[in-house]
Amino acid sequence: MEVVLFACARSAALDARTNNISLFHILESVSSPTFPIVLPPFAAVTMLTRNPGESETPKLIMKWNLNDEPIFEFPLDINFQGQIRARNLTDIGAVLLQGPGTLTATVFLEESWDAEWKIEVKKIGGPQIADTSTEQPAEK
Amino acid sequence: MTTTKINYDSAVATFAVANTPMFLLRKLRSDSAVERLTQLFSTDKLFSDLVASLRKKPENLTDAVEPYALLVALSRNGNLALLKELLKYPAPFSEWFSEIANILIQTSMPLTTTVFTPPQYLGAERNNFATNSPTKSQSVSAKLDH
Repeated sequence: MEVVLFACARSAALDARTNNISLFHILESVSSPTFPIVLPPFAAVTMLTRNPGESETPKLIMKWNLNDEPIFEFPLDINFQGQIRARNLTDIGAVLLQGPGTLTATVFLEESWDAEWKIEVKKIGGPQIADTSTEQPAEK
Repeated sequence: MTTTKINYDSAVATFAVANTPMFLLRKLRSDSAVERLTQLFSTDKLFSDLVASLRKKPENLTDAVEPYALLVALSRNGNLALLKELLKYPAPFSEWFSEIANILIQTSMPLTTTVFTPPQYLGAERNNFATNSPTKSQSVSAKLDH
């Protein structure tokens, strides 16, 4: 059994007619001039394949770290229903980011690392205030 | 409201010219009648009406296409066990029924959904977050780089 796709995007949609998943705006990096910030809700898609005879409901855990500090983790539901391929679509609520660095999502399959997605969290230059303290007062 | 009250006109038009099960299935997947069935009726209702329609001898094209439309609507809930269960029912008046059901089973890709709310938004920790939030003037929403 293996994870064949794991990706995060700003949003995802499921086509009711075809049962196809679409990802919109792949989540690669986030930038802000100030911290902390709130990363708006986003979606994570996990696709798995299994060999015949392997478990239909494997134990999956998604762990999130910011700069190697654990933020949260939760179990992922997957049910193959007799098929060899299955998918999970996860909606993740707004995430509080205390500072810049690397936000990493890792999917653990049966307690071993299997897939990873990294989001760069960048601090960018904010508005600058001109230093006027050295200016001479105007002569009268 | 029952599933028989749905307007099957477009499905009937498709059924009248369908020459293969794949053609019928492809057209029904985007048919408005199937869309309405999915929106208006529960899985249990679709299943029970489908079983009933399989037993009924069709008197017109609407009766003939109804089991197929119900089958495609039922397939949208992603429950493969239900589709497999349907194969046990005889379909003496719907000759493509088992073939279409098998196609739906074979091409189905199970999907589970999870909704997760990060813990800082729950209970007392939410207050911590509010305390740590930037002031209104400093508030910056996350910007995506493209």
